[in-house]
Amino acid sequence: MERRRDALSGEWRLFSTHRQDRTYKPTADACPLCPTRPGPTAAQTEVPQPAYQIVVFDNRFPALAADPPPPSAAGSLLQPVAPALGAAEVVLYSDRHDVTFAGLDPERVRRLVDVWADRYAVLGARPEVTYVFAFENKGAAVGVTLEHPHGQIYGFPEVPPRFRHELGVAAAHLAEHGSCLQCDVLALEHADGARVVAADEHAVAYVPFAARLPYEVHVVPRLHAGALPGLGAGERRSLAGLLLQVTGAYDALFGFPLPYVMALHQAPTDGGDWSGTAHLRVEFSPLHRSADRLKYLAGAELAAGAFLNDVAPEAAAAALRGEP
Amino acid sequence: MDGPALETANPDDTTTDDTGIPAAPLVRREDRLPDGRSITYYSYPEPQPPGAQHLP
Repeated sequence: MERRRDALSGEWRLFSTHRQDRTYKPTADACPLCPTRPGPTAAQTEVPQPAYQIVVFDNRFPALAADPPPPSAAGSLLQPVAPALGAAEVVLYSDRHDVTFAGLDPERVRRLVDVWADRYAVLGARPEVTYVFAFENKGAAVGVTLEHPHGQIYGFPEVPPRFRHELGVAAAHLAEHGSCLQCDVLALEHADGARVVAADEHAVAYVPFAARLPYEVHVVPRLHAGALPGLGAGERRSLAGLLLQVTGAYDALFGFPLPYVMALHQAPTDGGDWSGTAHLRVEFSPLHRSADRLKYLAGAELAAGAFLNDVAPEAAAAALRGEP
Repeated sequence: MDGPALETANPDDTTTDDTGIPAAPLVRREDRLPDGRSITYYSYPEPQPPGAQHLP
């Protein structure tokens, strides 16, 4: 368990070899994320309570930890290695095993937004955490090993590469135009409307103009806030509602619970001034390009980082709006 | 479970919603699992089903 920096890209990579032994697709009656039911033969799960609403706990198989072991390999000036210092948490959305995010009731999702905001504040206050990354991997197609509805939060010791790149682009836009890049994109998308999936007074869900994936959707608050703690109660309720609309639209369009990665892009917690550049967004990345076909990350995407999309974003948005 | 439990109301949830109705606080209770890992329970009042009435 350690971090190593790749000399050619300058990127830090995580190594968590102990995660090879993590619990892999247990049956529902052996789910480690369900509550611990009372009874003489009941097995203790990760949550030693007979019921719960929303729970967050340290991952048993963390990629980052507050007290990581020393690295297993010696680094060098050119190829440094460092302990995997940070945080890795599991967020349980419900004590019900057989529900997905799209099936959660609106109040619970609203409270989940509060929990994400609280974890952003709690983890972001730790000196070793520079970026709080909340996300959900849903479905076997994106590598989920436990079916129970849950997400994760990583507290990274540095800003991950993609987020760092995007923040740099936003900083250049701010320097040139004097405005927030995401605010300007949101205004364009709202005015155009062709790629909007759903919207209300506080937030907009849209397929990006240059989406990487066929049914990628961004959910963005209209309020310029870098992170969830900057949103008021109305904006949080709106965000929760749009997250449910998007996940519901996915399942309705594809006819099954669509696998996806849901990722929260928020401001770094390194003490820097991100007020003009960071703008909260929730990004959905489903890997399906049709009900029976996956969009594989192959040569262009994996090797070159150049995404090739098979579906026009305008068509994807219309389909997600339920238009024939 | 090991260690004392800490229960605090989340100050983020004292704001009013668009309806003007104060949101009930999200309660956070921190604890430790037997192996020392941190666990935090979040709880809130479940919404009443339509038609439900409070008893006097």
